[in-house]
Amino acid sequence: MLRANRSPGGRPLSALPVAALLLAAGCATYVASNLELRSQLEAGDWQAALARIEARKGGTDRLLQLLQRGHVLHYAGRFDESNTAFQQAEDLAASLYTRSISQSAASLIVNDLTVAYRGQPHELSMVPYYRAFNYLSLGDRDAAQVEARKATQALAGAVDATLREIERPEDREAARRLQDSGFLHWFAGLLFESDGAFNDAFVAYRNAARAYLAGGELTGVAPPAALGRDLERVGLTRGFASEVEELRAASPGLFPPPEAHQGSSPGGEVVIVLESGWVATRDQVMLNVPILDVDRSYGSTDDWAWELVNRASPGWSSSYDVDIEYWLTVAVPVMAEPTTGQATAVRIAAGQRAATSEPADDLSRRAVATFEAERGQILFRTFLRALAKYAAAEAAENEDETAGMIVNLLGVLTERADTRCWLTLPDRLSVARLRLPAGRQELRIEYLDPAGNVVASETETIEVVAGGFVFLNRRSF
Amino acid sequence: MRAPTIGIAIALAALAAAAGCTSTTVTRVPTEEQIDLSGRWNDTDSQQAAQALVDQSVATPWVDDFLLAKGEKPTLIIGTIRNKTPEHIAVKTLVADLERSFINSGRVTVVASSEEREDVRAEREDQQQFASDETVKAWGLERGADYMLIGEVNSQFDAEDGKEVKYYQVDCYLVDLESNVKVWTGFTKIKKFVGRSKYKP
Repeated sequence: MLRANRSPGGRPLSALPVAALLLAAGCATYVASNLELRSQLEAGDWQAALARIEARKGGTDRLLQLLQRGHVLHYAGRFDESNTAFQQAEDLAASLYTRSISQSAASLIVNDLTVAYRGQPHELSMVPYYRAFNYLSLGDRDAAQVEARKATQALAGAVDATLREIERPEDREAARRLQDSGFLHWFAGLLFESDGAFNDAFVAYRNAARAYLAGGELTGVAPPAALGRDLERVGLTRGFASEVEELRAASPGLFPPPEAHQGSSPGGEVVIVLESGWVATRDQVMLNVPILDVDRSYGSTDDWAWELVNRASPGWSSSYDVDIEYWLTVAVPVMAEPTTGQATAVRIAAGQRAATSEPADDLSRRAVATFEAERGQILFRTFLRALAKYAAAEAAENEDETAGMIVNLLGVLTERADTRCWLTLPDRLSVARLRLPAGRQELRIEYLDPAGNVVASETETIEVVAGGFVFLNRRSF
Repeated sequence: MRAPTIGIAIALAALAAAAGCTSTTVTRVPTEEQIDLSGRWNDTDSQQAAQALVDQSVATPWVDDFLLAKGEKPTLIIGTIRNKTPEHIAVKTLVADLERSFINSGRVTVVASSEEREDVRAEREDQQQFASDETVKAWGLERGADYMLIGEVNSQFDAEDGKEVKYYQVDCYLVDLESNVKVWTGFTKIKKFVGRSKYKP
């Protein structure tokens, strides 16, 4: 909160325009001070990235430290250690259900960074995904199945935790839209099918189809054609023909046309997930909102803070002549643009067979949707804090002008937006599928830019088992 | 919000800072003591499930039927117990608990698992070269199991508003290794309520 821009004696105001003066933030935010982590990963310098994470461990960012440590260790191929870090992260996230009164009190007088970071739904739901790949790499297929069963539960649990923090019905409704993920159901279904659990696989595929259809507006991702093939393959051969036909009648677009079928020749299935780019992060802006002479009439600080939330929203204007007493300056988070990866799709080929990836999920859009749902509550807390700081400074100033200035200065210096997020997550996920004959295969993997040009390639030798699955994941920064 | 509220907030923050100055403490406890921290499947669940299943199993007629028919105790091998829950369950611990409970029941003979047999055979092979003639153990005298115990752990979890009910069911089957006939099936259930405080200092 800044009081330097007090309007002396009040200024007549009619049809006050949206009072959102955005200024560059003075202090480095969590994102700004940790962006080097991304550079280190782009350079493949896992050790430096881990050292950086370790150097900043502890405090209220402990969950992020564990998530990012688990993530970097995964890319570094240290799967056991990655699982340990992720397990610790999951345990910590569960324990953070219990709110700390002292942290909440501190956030009221300092900033939201004093509260332990609890993780966002799209972040916590990615932990089972990475752990599943860790276990597959370690050859522990049973443990990978456990992660498949956890995946969608983790998302629902995280959304519940988010809902707990939100008061306004419209914001709660927006948060509920985050509760499902077509990709996580689909990925779990593939893992179930790889284990011969066809009933579980079909149910997961069906849930995936429903989630993709319901969440298309949220993520901008349509149901992948490969999911339709999975539904048909498992559904029609395992006794779910009527369910498949119901789905086909309700959503014909789910199922690929007959000419698009790869056939169900004997052999195994290659599944490759491309994780590309960097997830959209939160940035900090300084927002100036007027305190009006009529504001003293609010019955409670909560009501006043909610009115300031409205006042900070686009399109707000005062409906009658009022005087501005103060300009409250607060630091609030806003969403920044995601960083698109150099490669946004992948083409895999072996022998005469080839397949190109399809979009499967958009974590950045999930991050934005989470922020939109939380924004009202974040602003409410911010204005509650700003009013508290204002009251403290005013009370001190009444006693002594210098004391008032000091309290005001402290308020300004401690004002920071909470931009914390799992920085190393990708922007988008895409999945390529290829059916190959059993035996050793040389799989060519080509990474494609948005224009379809090959920007990199590699060859991987894989062992395809009849009826089995080979799971691979790759990252393009 | 006015100055008194700020004062309270500052006091609370100071209290929290003081409360945060704790160090790690370690206390040894009896291994049979039941300690639940996270609500996840733990050693107590494993022991209780194993004991319940073995009690059920040895109390059913298949043991006496075998004794009557063959004149000796049946020989068991503990096969695979599959974890079908969304939790990482130490299945090996459950298998060990089942083995121990079966052995301690005195009603059956338990033979080593396939993994353990590899070690035993390696040792026996070693004996052929290095042990004395009087003590070397012969090949081909292993006891074959009559029955294999297989099973799985399933679960249902329900959570709302920080409270969680966890329901585990362990199903086991005893299969005749010669005929594939299931001579016994049993299950045991474990239900837990996990409550989380909404607030802490």
